Amino acid sequence: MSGTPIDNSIRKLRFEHGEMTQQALADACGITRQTVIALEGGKYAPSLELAFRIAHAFGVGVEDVFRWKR
Amino acid sequence: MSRNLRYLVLVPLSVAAFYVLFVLPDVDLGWAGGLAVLGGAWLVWYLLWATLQESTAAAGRGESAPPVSPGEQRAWIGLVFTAAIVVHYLLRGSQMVADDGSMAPAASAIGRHIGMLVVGWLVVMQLLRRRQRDTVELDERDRQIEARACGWARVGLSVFVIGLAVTFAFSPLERLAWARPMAVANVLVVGLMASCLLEYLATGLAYWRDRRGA
Repeated sequence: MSGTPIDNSIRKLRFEHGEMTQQALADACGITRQTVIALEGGKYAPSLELAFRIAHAFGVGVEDVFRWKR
Repeated sequence: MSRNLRYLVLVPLSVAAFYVLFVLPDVDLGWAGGLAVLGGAWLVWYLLWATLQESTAAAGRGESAPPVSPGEQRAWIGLVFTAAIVVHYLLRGSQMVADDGSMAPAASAIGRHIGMLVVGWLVVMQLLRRRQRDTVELDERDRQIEARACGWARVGLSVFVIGLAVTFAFSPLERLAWARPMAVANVLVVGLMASCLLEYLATGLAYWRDRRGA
């Protein structure tokens, strides 16, 4: 899977939320830790549903987590 | 024993066990000898499997190290077993065809070997599932990777079927003397297994490429 045009702040948000681990985020969203790694590395663009679930896990809006790369 | 040394010993032993059990012609060793060979082979494969699991667990420790996902593990295991079945077919498939083109007596033994590989595959998958029962096994990214790999397998199978159809349609009859019922059955099974092999390979490579760049 090549890079995606969607940028995200997952890593930053994890550290702002008590240094949440990748596994903890994965468990909160019902995904594997490898998917969190792929998301943070910009190798995978999530579905709209997963994007909302991730945002919900951090208690922020989707636009605070994901951005379109210009 | 260090993990590298274990690999150095176990990988050639596993290949040798496969060769003895599935490639060499069947020799009657008596029940004790047969059991020893079978038990020894499965023991070597189990030790290799345990070492691989240990490596996987070690790679997954810490946040920085990208671990091997359940989907990737399933893909590599599937690749190993499918490759073993294809290799077995390629090496011994011709022995399944009798002189008159029907099923040779050796076919049942070869079929038993393939059945044994399939049972082994199911057992390994069951063990893996049991180990991973508390974790998410499959998510949307896994499904996306699987769908792409499935596409590759479909293309491979289509090419194979078209190639076979063209061969049958345009080859002179004397060049199709090999195409007896049992031989055609073997070719079809090998084609199907090769498409599965392609699917597992594409899946494994997709995960590996993501992991390597993580």
